[in-house]
Amino acid sequence: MKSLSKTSTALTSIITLLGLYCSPFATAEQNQHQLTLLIKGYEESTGTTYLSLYDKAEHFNKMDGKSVANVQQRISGDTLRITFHDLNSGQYAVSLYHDANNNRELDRNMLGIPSEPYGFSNDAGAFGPAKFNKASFTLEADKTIVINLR
Amino acid sequence: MPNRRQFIQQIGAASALGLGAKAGLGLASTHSDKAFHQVPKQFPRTRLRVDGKWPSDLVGNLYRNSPAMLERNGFQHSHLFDGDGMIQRFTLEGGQVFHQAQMVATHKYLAEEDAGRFLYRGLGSSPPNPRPSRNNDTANPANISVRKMGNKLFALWEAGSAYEIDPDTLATYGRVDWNDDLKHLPFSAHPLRDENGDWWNIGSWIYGGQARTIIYQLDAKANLKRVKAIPMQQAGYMHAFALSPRFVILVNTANIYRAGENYFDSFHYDSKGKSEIVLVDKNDLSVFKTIDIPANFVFHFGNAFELGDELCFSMAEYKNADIMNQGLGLGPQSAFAKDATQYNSELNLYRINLKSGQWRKEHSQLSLEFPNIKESQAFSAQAIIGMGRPVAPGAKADQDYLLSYHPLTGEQEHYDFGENITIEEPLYVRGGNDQEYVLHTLADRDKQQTGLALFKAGELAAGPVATAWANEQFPFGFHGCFVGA
Repeated sequence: MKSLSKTSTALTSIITLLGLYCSPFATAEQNQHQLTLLIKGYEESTGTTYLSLYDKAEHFNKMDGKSVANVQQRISGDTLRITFHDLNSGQYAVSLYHDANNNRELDRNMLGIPSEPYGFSNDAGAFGPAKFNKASFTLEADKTIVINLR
Repeated sequence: MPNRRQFIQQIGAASALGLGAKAGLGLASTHSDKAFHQVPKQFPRTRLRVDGKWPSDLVGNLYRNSPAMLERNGFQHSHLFDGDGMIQRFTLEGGQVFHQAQMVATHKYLAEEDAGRFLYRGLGSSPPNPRPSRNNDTANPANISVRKMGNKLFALWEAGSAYEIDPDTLATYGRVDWNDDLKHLPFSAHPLRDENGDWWNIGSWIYGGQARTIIYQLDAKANLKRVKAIPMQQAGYMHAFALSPRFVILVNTANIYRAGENYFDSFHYDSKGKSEIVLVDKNDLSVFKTIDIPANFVFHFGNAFELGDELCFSMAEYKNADIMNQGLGLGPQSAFAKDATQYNSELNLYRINLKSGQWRKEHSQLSLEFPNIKESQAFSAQAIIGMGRPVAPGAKADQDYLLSYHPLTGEQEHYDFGENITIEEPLYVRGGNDQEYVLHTLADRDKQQTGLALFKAGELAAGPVATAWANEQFPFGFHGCFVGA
């Protein structure tokens, strides 16, 4: 299972990490990397961030339980920092949303358009969900990326 | 300096909007035209210079919305639809005319004020490194119209929510959510009032190649009564609609959406395709009939009325969508205009037999944009007023004039202020003694001054009964409303 640490003033945070990814080739220590996410742009300091880390386009944003990791993190400021450890080298992409009213879902209007903040790695996409090839990045060493909520 | 081609295209763009030739010239050549450049974020209340006698029974406020802020931090939007909205108010009281104006404090405007630059893509042009949008309201400039519904004043865009405005201070109360399910959905700039006082509006939603038109019905106090999203057969551009006693009348134009860099870049006019007249039954919001017509493009409609089995409505009809995709552009990407008539529309009357579905079109051979009618007689055949444009090829660009045309009788009258004066959207307004007037803003392009002109309805040719002039040029605008005291 991948390990994760987070820096947040919210001591009551709930963290769920699903180590569903396990490559048979990713055993050497030098291929294990740390990924730090800095999530910025919270307009409200309440609620929960739901975040998923993916390594395959076919699962990206599908909510099919086949992400590398899922994180729930309560918010207490305007920035959130999440660090993943022991990730294998490869292509990854992140999607997340801010459940500001803690109803455990991304609020949407009648046509499915979100009213709560969301975001993707690379701040990908102009409108609506980003595609994996736009949101993905290469992890070959320890890395920090910034994601701005939209 | 722009070349001749750029001059001409900008003349055409400006003229099509009623901005006159010299607005385009000023924008292109000097960058000093105060109608577009270095527009203040607010205009304090000032008194205009009055000429003639403003009738004492006509008291109230003319509100207009202007895409005023087109430039920030060295970047200038190249499409008029992308300027942030400014609400202008002309107050008529005691024979005097006063003006004041204020930017609409949208989410977009406030975020960009904070950042000191444009952050988001516009409909027709985009700043460098634009941020992604969460939903339709992220980049909502609330810049097309301002309408009063119930006791509330709303600044309206077409692709996102309404913003409520304080009618006295012009301060922005905030975004309007008709309910949680309708947050951030398109709400057009052209709501129409029904005979019983209800308000109807549409929102055109296109995403992922699928198009839906949202039909809104609000009560007289602007509370939501009903809403329905109706799938469209093609993803055509729709700006406004017409309303008859029985139907919401949509014209799903042949300007078809295929995702591109900007919203307007994504529309491609299919001249070999079709437009659709979609009649939505007001009783149950079902589609009563869809009628294919040859490809056309339209922003604005005259009124609709029913004569027996015949449904009649007028629209300012274009032969293509150049007016939207290029004509309203202000930069060198605009299309080449051979003459001022390139972007003209024609006010045509469509007559549909509701039993047979057969239809015919009666041409006015008049170019009339910004059509308006007497709202008190919304479902009756009546004279439509608007900004007239010459139709003869080669006509000068600055020959716009005030025009009235009756689509059934063909009666028409006009008044031309002359070459240096450009006019904006005229409205029918009613005085306290039930006298109908026609009121509109205008601009003296040589003097760089904005004015207001008042005519007696039905007596346009006699000229204005009163005018009022500011000592400065205010931003040009699109649409507005008059709210009597």
